[in-house]
Amino acid sequence: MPHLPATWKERKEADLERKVERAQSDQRFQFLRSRSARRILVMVSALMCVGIIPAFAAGNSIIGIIVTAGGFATWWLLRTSVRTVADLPDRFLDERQRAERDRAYVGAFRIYAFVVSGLVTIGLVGFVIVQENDEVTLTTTWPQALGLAFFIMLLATLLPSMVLAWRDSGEQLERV
Amino acid sequence: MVYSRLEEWRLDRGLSRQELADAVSVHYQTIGYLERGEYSPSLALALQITEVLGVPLDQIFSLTPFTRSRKGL
Repeated sequence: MPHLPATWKERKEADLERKVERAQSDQRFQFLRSRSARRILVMVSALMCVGIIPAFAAGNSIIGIIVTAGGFATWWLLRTSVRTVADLPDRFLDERQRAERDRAYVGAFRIYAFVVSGLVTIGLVGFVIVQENDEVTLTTTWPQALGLAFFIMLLATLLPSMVLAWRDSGEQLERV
Repeated sequence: MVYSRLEEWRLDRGLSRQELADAVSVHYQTIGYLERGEYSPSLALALQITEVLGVPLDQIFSLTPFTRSRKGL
């Protein structure tokens, strides 16, 4: 008789294993796994990320929320495209997948650090330009602050899968 | 870079990518990457593959390009 998971932890682990198995052997979304499809997804993801700030800054939170939802939908497509490799722990990956995931995180960190430090630098330069007697009065709206926060969160969430998808040469269909 | 004659030996042994992948506990796409020379295996994986295929390591992987096909040897 097969061992049935008894505790909550065992059930959760068994559920995770089923999800990973499904993602790793999935053939339904193979059209997302060619080199060109992955690169298109990466570009759409980048557009979604960048589009969040002007969408919220326009003053209409509804448009901003729609763009944010689009960003997370793109994230799902990206994850499916790379078989969730960027989000899985070591025990579910083989040595090539682990190496690719680790390289992707290094690349993602560099891009993230560049973007965030670039934004901070632009902010400081702007401060120097507009300051009077070392004082600057910042005025912002709630949607603008929300847009910036969603941009930073979505970028951090998307980047590892984006880097992974961009670098990969694309899957070959045949298992034989 | 590691050159590979994995595909030739795998087909010779009548194995699909999926079957070989299952035998050495990797994803079937990893076998494809190895066959295309896009990924260099660890020593442990290379030895596992040689064991499954029953072929010496230097007949499957090499640091220099293979000059002749296995059947021509």
